[in-house]
Amino acid sequence: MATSTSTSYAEREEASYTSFTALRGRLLGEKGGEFQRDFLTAAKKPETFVEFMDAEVTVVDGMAVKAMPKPLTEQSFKEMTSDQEESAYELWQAVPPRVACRASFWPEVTIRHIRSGVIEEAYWLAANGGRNESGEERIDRALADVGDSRKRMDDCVRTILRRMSGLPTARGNRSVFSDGSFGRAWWRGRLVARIAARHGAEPKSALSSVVRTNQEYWENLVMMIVSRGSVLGAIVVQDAFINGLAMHLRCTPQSPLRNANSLRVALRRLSNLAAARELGVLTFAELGEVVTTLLDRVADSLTT
Amino acid sequence: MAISIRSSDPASASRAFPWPVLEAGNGSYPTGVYTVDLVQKRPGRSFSLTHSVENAALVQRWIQSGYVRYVCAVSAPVSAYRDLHVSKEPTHVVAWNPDDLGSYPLFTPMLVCGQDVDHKVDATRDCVHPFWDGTELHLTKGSRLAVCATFALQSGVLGLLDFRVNEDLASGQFKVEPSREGGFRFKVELSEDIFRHLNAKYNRREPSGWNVMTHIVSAAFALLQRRYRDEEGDEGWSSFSNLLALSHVLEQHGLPHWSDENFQPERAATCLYPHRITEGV
Repeated sequence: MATSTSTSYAEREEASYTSFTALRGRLLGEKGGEFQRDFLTAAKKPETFVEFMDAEVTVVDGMAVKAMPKPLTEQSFKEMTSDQEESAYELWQAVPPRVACRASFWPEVTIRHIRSGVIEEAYWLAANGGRNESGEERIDRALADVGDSRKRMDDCVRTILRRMSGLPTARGNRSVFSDGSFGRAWWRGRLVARIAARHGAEPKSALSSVVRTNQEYWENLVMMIVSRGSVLGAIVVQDAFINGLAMHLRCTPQSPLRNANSLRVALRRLSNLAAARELGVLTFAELGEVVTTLLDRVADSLTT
Repeated sequence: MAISIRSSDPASASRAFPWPVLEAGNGSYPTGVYTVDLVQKRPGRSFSLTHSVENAALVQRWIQSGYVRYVCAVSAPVSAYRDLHVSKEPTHVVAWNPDDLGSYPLFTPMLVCGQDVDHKVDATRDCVHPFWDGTELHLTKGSRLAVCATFALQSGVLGLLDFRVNEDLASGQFKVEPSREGGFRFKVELSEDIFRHLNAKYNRREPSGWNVMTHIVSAAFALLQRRYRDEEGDEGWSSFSNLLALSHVLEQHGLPHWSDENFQPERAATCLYPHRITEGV
C-alpha cells in the first residue's frame, strides 16, 4: 500500500498466518466442519467469542477507535437507524479511507463494542436481515445435528463474518461498504458529509435519505462506485449523481427512481454516457444538468 | 520514465467511439503515438507528467487551438477513490493523499475535449484512417481524444520480482539475476517445487512461503550491493525510477542504502519482511 505518515489504527492482522484473512479462509474452507462449530459455539457468549478471536487473530497495535456511547440492540446492530449511523460516522470521521476500506479493521471495531458491552451479545452478529429469528436461535438451529446442519452452520458463519467486516472473498470489496454494520455506517456517512461539505447544494437530510433508502439501493450505488472502471468512479460524478438523485426524489416524492430496479436503469444510462466521455472534467453545475436531464428522462420513461 | 501507446499496440478495442481516438487497438490514427513522461516529485505522493502526441495531426491541431485538456485519472477503487487532475498545460503535477488510498493508485493519462467542437474530417490532412474521411464530428466537452495505458507505481521490492521456473535447478534451489529491460527487474529463477509452493494460494503468507520470499529479497539486495553499488551516470542504478523508489523505501525505514559501507542485505530484507516463526515449534 502507499506510504502514509498519519495515524495507525488498531486492527486485526491482515496478511499472516494469524491474520483475519487466514481465519476467514479456514472458516470458509470446510462447510459445516469442526472449526465452524467451534466458532459458532464461541459466538454464543460474548466473553468466549472475544477469547476465540483474540486467540486466532493477532491485533496490530495502533489507535483504538472509541466505542459508540449508547448500547445497541440486536435489531439496531443489524440495521442501524439514520441517527445511529450518523453518530457512528461523527465519532469515527478521523479514520482515513485507506483504513476504513479494510476488512481487517472493522472486526476489531466490532470486538471492541462487544468487549465494552455496547453489543451485549456476540450472537447478535448471526441475526439475519428480514427474518424474525434471533441470532441465538439461528446458532442453536445450526448447531443442532438435524437436517442440513452443515449448510446452516456455513450460512451462520458467513452472516457473522459479513456483519463484522463484509465478506470480500465471496462478494468483492464492495462487501466492506455494504455488509458490515459499522463499515456501512461509515461509508454512507462519509459520502453524505463529503457532498454536503463540498457542494452544499442539497440538504444533508435529503442526501442521507438517498443512501439509506434500503440495502439493495445502497448496494447498487456502491457497486458503481467501487467497481473498477465504474461510471460513478470519479468523485465529482459520484457527488453530482447522488446530489441530483436527492433533489429529484425531494421534488418528486412518487418518482419510480425510489425503486432499486429503476436506479439500475438510470445508472446504466449514465454508464452509456460515460463510455465515450470523461464526465469527471465537467464542472459540478454542468454535471448537475446532465444528471437532472437523465433522471427526468428515466423517470418519465418508467412512468409512461 | 516514459510510457507510449500506438494504435497498433495490441489491445481489446471493445469500444466504438463516434470520433477518432488515439488509443491502443484503435486504428483511427494509423501512425499516431501518445507518450507520457513521468518524473517523480514526492515519492508515493506526487509526480510530474508531460503529455506529447506525434503523427496525429487532428489532435495536435486541437491542442494548438486550446480545445484540449491534459488529464490524469488517479484511482484506488478499493477505497472508492477516483480523482481527475486536469490541466491546460502539457506538463502538470499529479498528487494524491495516501490516506485516501486503500491500494497502490492506478493512473490513466488521457487527452479530452475541453469544450464542444464540430469538425469535418479530411483524412489526409488530419492523419486519420480513410474510414473517417468526410465524416462530420460533433464532440462535446469531456470527449476522450487519446487514452494512455493504465499503470501503477509500486515502490516495494516485491513488485520488482519476476518469478519463473528453471528446470535445471534441483529441488529447493533458486537464483536471482538482474534484468534491465523495461526498467530494472529481478529475474528470480526457482526450482519447480518452490515455484509451485509460492504460487499456491496463501502460501506466500504462511511461514514456509513467507520465509522463502524473505530469503529471495535478501538475495536481491545482495545483488544490488554487489553489482549496483556505484552510481554510473546514465547507466547507474539511479537511472531506473523503480530503484530510486526502492532507495526511498529503505530511507523511510531508516536503513542504509546498498551503496553504503554498512549496508547488510539480510538486515534490510528481514527488517522489511521479518521471518515468521511457527509458534510452539
